[in-house]
Amino acid sequence: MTAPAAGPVVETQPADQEFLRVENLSVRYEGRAGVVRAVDDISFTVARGEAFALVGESGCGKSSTGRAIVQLERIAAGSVAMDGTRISTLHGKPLRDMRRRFQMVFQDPYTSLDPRLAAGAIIREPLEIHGIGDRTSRRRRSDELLRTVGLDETFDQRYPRQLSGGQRQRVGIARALALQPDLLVCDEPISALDVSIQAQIVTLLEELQAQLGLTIVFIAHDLAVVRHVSDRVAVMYLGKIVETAPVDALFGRPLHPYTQALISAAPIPNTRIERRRKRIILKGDVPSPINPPSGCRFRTRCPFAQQRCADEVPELRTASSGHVVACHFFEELEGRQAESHAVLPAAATSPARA
Amino acid sequence: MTQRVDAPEGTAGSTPATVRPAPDGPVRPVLDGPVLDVRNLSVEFTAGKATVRAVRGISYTVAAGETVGIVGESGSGKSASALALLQLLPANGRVSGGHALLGTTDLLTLAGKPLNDLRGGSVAMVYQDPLSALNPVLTVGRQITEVVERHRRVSHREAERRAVELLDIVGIPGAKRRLGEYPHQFSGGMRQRVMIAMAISCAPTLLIADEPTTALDVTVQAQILDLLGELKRELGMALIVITHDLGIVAGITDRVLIMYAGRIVEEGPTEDVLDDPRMPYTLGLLRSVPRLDLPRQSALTPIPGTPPDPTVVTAGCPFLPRCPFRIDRCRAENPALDNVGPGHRIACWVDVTVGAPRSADGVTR
Amino acid sequence: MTGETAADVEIVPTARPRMDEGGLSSFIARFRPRTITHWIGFLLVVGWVLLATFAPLLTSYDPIAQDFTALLQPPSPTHVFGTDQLGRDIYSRVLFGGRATLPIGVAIIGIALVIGIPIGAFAGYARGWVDEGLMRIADIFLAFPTIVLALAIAAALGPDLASAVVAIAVVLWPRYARLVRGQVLSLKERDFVLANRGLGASPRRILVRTVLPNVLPVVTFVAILDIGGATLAGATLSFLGLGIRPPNPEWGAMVSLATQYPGDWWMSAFPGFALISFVVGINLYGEVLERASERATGAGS
Repeated sequence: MTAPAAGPVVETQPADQEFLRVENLSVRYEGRAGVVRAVDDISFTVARGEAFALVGESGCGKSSTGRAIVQLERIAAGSVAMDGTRISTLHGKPLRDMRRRFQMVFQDPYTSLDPRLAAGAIIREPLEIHGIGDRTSRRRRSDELLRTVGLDETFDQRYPRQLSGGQRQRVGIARALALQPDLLVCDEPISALDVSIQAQIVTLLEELQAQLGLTIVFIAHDLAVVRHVSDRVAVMYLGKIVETAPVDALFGRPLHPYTQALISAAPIPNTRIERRRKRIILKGDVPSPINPPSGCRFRTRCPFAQQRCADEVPELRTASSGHVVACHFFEELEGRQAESHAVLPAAATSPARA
Repeated sequence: MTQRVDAPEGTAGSTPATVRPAPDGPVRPVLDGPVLDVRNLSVEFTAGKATVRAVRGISYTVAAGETVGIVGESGSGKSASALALLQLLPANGRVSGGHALLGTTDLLTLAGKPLNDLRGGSVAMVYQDPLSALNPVLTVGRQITEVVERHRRVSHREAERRAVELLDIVGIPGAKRRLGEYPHQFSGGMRQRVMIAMAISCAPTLLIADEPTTALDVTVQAQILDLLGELKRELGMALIVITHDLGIVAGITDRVLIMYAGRIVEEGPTEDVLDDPRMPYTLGLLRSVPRLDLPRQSALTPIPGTPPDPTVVTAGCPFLPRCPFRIDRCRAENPALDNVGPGHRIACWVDVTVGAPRSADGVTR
Repeated sequence: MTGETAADVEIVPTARPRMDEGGLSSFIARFRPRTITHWIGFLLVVGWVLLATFAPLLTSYDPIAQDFTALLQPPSPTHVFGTDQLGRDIYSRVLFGGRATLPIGVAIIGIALVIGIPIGAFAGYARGWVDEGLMRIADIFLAFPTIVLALAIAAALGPDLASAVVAIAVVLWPRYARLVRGQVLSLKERDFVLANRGLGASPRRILVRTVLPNVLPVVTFVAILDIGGATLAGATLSFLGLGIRPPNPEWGAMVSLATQYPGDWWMSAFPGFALISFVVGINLYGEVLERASERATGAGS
């Protein structure tokens, strides 16, 4: 049993485009039963203006990663650098000043807004904190932001409890944009919303990204949304990244067995496909993050696990340009996959006439 | 169709034991008619001084062995309609009208012993959050045997044997040992299986699953849906699945009802409703979710606005403020369900395929 | 642009209570009495406040004027509540006594809050040994029975109403410190506080402008509920001889005096009734505050 090695960051894009660099990041929590390694030595880079998704199921560490990036979570090891500056080593005032450049959109619209403040005041808070402008200009700016997120000035006086989930989320986004950040980390921004509202927020985020040239880290568990929104995707399992790839490559040619299982499990509102597709049903449940399995953490549920998987932690290896996988056997498995499962049915099979 | 990929040795999973009917349940008569016939069901909640009309006169049937999906978002009334069937509404809710016939018995009129016999007996329910639906201070085994003993005259030992069998059927390894464990010692997916075990323990004719996988991860969801499908086939149960996810519905249901603001706005064979939605809300839903079967860059068309206030009753169609197809008639009259194809009905004045009001006889094909 | 205007219909989630106003008016609305008992309590409290305030207008007798021709008179048309052993009109003394007794409770709680809130907030936010240290000090105070400790302090400070008030306040502050600390601890982890940290707010700003305003409603409600008990405590000290100096009237002191004249029931009955009715009034009305406090604690929405 080898100890996990801090591997080199596998480069997946040209260096001059790189905007965010996460290197050997680890986040740990002290629990009653032991130390929880929520994020264990992960690395990735995000290009300027790119939408990068972190995908995984509960307990994979994606939310902790998001918080660690915006320095709202204590980093146990590793570093986060943005636009050349190491933000993970900043403290106090330098950090607070730097915060203007990266912001977070939170998951739960019901707890992410101060219940005692009206929407306008919530959006102006960042401006007040950094002493930007005066009362009039701040009010102008908050009105402008309200419009940007699809609300109007009349929302200035409304309190969170008077707003719907979708409206609150818009206010949260407006607040995050107030300081004109370069980087936006969205932690499951639509999971708590109704289906018909989710599309509104997703579309809003896409428009904002295009308009403002934002770099976005999008954290989610819904694969269909991720596919729609992102340029590149990293799949996480139990604190580790198991596969990173450009979005078309990930969905068209998923190499890690876990990625395949995830995609295969995602429901599609198309009866023909659903009835014909062969699903990969994983056995058992996610193991405890306090005591993850040795070697490859996925091996206890992996249909293809072998002895080597228990002995040796798989490194992220390059499969093709920009596509890395952490699996000892992905080359051999690729051939097998084509014959056993059509993981993602081709769009050509009777698309819905919608 | 799912294909189980065998896991390596020593890990979870076992092939389900052969399922056989409950030891000495009453012989159930074979029904020609529908297993469940809901007529004009209405449910209200009182919130302070306001009355929330959660369900406004819905009617549907479920045939033996059929799986029906009820789809809606929060506020659509889908959960309330199901809870009403077993009279499990919270204290501030009540059935304000309608009937729910199971065979010849109206479920809504039952009380006392017949009602308790019904619950878990011929009709069982599985809930969204297994953590709060299971009793945290009783062992899993005790909770299952309680159900069995309640509905069958069997010895405790026989009930325990049945419990082990059930845990086996739902795919919990080491069933005998786990009888003595408590719900918090199980993972989310396992807890849901326990709840399903309790629900099928007396071979119900109808199983109602209220958002059974919403609280679960997607890979666990796949396991549970797979299990439900299998159980349904082997036990010949009718199944009602309540969900907001059209993908789930596509995989497991024969027919689907789309609910909006307490009413059914579209119903029909799942295939027809998903391929050829005729009600603007359904159409809107399908167009607004990203789909793995469409090209990645396909535009999402969100439905503007928000769902309506359930305390307010309007004269016209409740979807009006959000509907791109609206015509004057929509403001004045609330459309009734009407045929647009074999078994396919919608509540809408407009023909969305041509963007014009529907013809007088209602059928547009 | 995918947007919604204020004109669009709003969702009302079926499970949550609907509030029409935000901010201050909603806050004030929480104080509204809802049932008969609430109203009784509310009227009792307001009634006594009014009576004490307008005391000079409601009686022609000077509360400290002695009249040796009318000693220990039972209630009569001339002296509605009778007179005490020095011929002073008890009715006036009850009215004017309210001016001493009623503010005692408020003053005590006020001082306790002024001490307790900053200590609790600081402890909850700073954590570590600062938190430990402050809480152990609080524990020391909490270990003593209230009246005993208050007596000791008041005796040390000298028999004066002010010292009685200070003594009891000093005994009570740990209660609020603990309450505030607990609230701060739980609020610190809420998303909106985290969001402010993420926006670059300094710890001081977060504590003072984000956390505390969310803590204060809970504390306010609890504090108001405690006024009744504090009033009684103050009256008790007076009863025991510490506190108000004669001849000024104060309900507790009046009852104490009356114990020396057991046959003259009117000397204890009226001030006693005043005291009891005021405290009961606060407790009855207090249920409104309890509810409001619960909602304030649960309020993240």
